[in-house]
Amino acid sequence: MLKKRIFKKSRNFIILLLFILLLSAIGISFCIGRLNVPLSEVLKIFLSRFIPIEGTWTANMEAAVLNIRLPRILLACLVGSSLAAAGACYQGIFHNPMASPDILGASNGAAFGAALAILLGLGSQLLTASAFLFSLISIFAVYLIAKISPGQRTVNLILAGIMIGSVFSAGVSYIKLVADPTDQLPAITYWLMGSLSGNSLNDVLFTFIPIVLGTIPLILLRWRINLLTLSDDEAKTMGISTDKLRLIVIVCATLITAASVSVSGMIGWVGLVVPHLARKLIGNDYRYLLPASMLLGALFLLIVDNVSRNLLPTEIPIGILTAFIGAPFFLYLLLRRKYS
Amino acid sequence: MIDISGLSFSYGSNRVLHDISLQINKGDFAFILGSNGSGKSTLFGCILKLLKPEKGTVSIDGVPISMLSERELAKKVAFLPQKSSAIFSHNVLNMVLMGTASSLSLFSIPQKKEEEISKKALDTLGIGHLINESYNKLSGGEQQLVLIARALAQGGDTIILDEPTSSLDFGNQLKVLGHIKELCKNGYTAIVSSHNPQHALMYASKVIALKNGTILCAGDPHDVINTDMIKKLYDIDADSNTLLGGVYK
Repeated sequence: MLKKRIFKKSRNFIILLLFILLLSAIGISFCIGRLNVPLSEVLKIFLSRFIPIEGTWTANMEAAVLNIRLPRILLACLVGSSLAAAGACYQGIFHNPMASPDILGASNGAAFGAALAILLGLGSQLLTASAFLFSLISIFAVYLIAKISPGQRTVNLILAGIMIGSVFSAGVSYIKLVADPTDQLPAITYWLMGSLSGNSLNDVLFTFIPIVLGTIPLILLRWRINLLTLSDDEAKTMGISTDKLRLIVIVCATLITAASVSVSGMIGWVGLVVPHLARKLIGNDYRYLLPASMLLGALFLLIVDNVSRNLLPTEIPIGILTAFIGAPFFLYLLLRRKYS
Repeated sequence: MIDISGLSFSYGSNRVLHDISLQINKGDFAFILGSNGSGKSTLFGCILKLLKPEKGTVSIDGVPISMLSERELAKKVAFLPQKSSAIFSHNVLNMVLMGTASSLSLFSIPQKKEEEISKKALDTLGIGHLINESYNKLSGGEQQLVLIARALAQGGDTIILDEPTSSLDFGNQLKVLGHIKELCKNGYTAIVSSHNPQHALMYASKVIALKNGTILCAGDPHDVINTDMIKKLYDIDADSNTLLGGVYK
């Protein structure tokens, strides 16, 4: 009895702790950079938007905080939490611990859309829109193929995801081949590495809407996702319309994945590693796992992004760092796993 | 009470159940015996609405299941697979809580009331102390009891179990069956598929022997189970002494 209450409290406590850690990381992220801004000035810059405060900061500081760091920090949190949430959901509903957000080809679709936009010389907003569009197209194609093909739906989805993913990835290779090697090719290559830099508040808003639209149903349905981790027959005889529920979860997880990768590029490993770390911390109950994954994902990507922009004089693309940090970390989890 | 009449089912052109009619009363502990492929699982699928029968009806408490939604059926009948195979292990309480899903609306999350129901179900089976354990780390017998507790939390009075003892050691087989027998004394109805006629003799109130999708015989275990029936059911040729030391007359 007592043990249980403590356990439940401790899970809420972990979530609270993650939230506080995230807030602190956000605060620190505003301060550090090429131009160091003291926290007090950061707070004053924000307050001055609402109430008149005597300016003790420089114009450079204000520009760094509001125009560069604010969108970037928001984006790191949004993308990190989305990828982690989508990964956690996919792992559960596909009964597959290796599932990650790009399992249905969302990233490859987005990459194709982005590469195409660069080839056509479209601006950054159109590039994001094109990436988002092709990401949705690829997932829609995957779903359609899985629906009309006979056999087990979830296996079909994964196989169709691999197939459509490689078609789009071949498309990216072709675009790279025909792209202008002096400016377009590097731009494509750079986009594929993933980066959170160079986005305005408008870009953030563009991803914010689909991410919120996808996240809210997932949060509301989070306990029911537990039932999808059981066999279909079990869940059905417990009164769950498994096909409908799984479809809702797939649509939402896909929407937030597409919105994330279309603005950040290919950021791997977050959606795979973070949910597993959250499982270690808080268990497999999606009531707690989903919020914990989201907070942890936001925290992880924010920290990695700070490393990416501060470690070296030139920025390291974040996709490279997440792989550098994510893969060994995953290996560590694998090696110290005590249960079979 | 479950009433099945004229039930037939085919996978494509392969007919698996032919014109099955049977009745299982409230409080019955029914054993379905039959060799692999005799149609036991298909029969369960039809009762649980996982499969759509070609012909015939299944009624529960007088209501045809075709008139019931998945949720309404779940409130009457619970199902236990041979093994629950969640790839990520849930703790026991959460596993049992899932049984209450049919009584919760889409966006609700179980509250105190559902937790009380789940705890009571665990206590009924004498495994209240396992509440915080990880399900995948439990022994096979304990896992079955947790799944039975989940069935109780589901709120119906009929439980269908697919070979509940197939992966258990001898002691746990008897323990699990003993618990089910106890539930039947308290008004639950249980239907199990089994490969063990001896268990049927020990626990069943009714035996249904399926062969190639038809009912070979049905009735009181002591009337129905004998050497002759065992030979026919499993296509073996042996005398009563060879068959498990002569327990079958």
